[in-house]
Amino acid sequence: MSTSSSDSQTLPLRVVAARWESESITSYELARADGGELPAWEPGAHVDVHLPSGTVRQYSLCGDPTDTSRYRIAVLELPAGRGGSVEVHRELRPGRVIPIGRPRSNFVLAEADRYVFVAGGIGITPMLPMIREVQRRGGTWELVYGARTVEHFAFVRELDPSAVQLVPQDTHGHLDLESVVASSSGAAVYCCGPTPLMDALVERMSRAGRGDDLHLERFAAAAPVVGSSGEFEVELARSEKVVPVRPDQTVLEAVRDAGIDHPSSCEMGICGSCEVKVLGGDVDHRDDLLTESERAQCNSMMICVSRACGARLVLDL
Amino acid sequence: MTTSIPAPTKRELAEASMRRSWFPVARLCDLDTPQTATLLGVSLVIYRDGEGRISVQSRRCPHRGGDLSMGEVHRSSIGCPYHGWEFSSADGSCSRIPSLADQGKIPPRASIATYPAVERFGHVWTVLEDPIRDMYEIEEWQGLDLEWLAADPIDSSVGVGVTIENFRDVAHFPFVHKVSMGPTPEVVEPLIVNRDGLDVWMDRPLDAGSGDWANDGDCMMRYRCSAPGLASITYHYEKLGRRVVAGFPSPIDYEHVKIFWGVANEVGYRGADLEECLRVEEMVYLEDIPIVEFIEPREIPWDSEFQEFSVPADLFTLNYRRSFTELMNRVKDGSHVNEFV
Repeated sequence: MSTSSSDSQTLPLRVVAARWESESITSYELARADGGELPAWEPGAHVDVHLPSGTVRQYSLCGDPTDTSRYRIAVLELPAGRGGSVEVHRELRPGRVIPIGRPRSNFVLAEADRYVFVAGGIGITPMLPMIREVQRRGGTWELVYGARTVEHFAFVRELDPSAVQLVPQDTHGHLDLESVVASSSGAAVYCCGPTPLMDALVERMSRAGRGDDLHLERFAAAAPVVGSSGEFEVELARSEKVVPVRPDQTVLEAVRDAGIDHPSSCEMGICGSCEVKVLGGDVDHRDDLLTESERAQCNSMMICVSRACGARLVLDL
Repeated sequence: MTTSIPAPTKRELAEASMRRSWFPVARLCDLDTPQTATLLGVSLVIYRDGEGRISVQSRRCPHRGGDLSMGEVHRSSIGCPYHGWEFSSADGSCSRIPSLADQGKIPPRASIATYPAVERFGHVWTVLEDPIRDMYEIEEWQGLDLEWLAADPIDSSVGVGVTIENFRDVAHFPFVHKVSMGPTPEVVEPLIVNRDGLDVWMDRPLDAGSGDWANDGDCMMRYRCSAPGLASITYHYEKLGRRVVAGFPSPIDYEHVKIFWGVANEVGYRGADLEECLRVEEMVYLEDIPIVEFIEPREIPWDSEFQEFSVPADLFTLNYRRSFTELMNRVKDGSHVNEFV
């Protein structure tokens, strides 16, 4: 039995184009080296990109599903992130062959009469093929698209301008989610973008009793890593303590330093012994055990490796 | 004053979730005569009645405790070997008491428990209580016409979890299967394991280089398990088509299983016939049994009774435990599957 290959889930694809799309965003087109057909995918699907360093990152497919000759992804360069996006920008040059996972999807376009798409920054990527699909079905759609400045909007030329509302943050502030909720009555709402945007929309949609109309794609890769210094606090709800976590320390170590005994075994994020219920805050999941939907639900974390996206986590400890 | 009921241990939840999951209790090929099984302590008789219907029922005659499996099968009932009492194969109600002149006087509550009986993968499957999961449907077998050959079941004095983990473990090959597989690398490549609800799977290439399958050419293997008790490998040969080996340990009690298992070939498979596939798989599998039987503890230490350490080669096992945990959570949350297949 061979143990030499781990590429059973991946295809070696060649970068056939890299294209500057907007400030910090570059798109990449990937095709089979032999020019053959690629596995089919549906709007909302993503692929694992296996980077030369061994890092694996998920990126939404943002090309045309009917074109089976190539995949397109787009990546926002985040110098203060975990390193994946910077490596993509450095390594994915045209000509390079790189293992790409088969398309998978957690973000499926439901049947609806009308669609409202809400994109924050690079969250535009899964929306593009969805919008194309809605148009193909003859449905109606609108897109509310927020980015830091006008220079940060990508792919706008590919979209019907009459259906798109662009909201540059530097001149127009945050997206007006109240009006998104109010004007999307009866529509399916799709959102992808930074965690605070999605959290805020979840909160407003549930308050309006419309949680079921909302569809989200939470991407660790798309979420900004706040507190890039790596320092944050954990609030231990049951022990009524707040413990600082230094950049060079794991949450588990910080918890133990605070005098709380907690089980662990592998201490590399695979076994689940140290799993802790998360009561508040966003987790930068770094384990290998949780599925993407479990990460998105964010009910728990492996405190031996995972960290906070924001300034504080509240744990059931 | 309030009294609180202690929270169930994970072992209790594991047992409860198995009582509500499907397990095989007999091979279809053995049903010429009534078969017996013990599933989680419940004594069962499995038989095909005179009309061809398969029944899974409690084995004890409620009259004076005769063993129904030793009795006679009638058109639509089974008779006790002791006094001939007959119980309907459809619902277990007592349909005839030979010693009674007036059959209208059958004690109304004299009946035997009747469980669902599903024919699948060469075996009869049943479930003891309100199911919390559907009968297994294996994605890669959908639309595939599989012909099954059920193996001789194997008795093993460990639990369902330990048995499934052995099926799915790839790091033991160079040690346990030195003879049947020849030298295999000790270092395990990074496993790409997928999990969705109760299903866990990964794909690995089978190196056609040496061993018993050397002439079969390149092959992809899909390892799958579905909590609590199904593990399979679907071999997809470029040249030959698809074949399957699958195991379904059935718990006699919490720490003792009867391993039902079998092989299947896709109709039109161009490789070895079913008997030959079974022979080779059995040779491999019988190497596991004497090692696995002495694993301590005899079931997954759900409540951390024993400390264990894991490494990345255990990723499949660890994902299986999480899928099993989802079953336990379903028990805890009181959910159930309405559909009784």
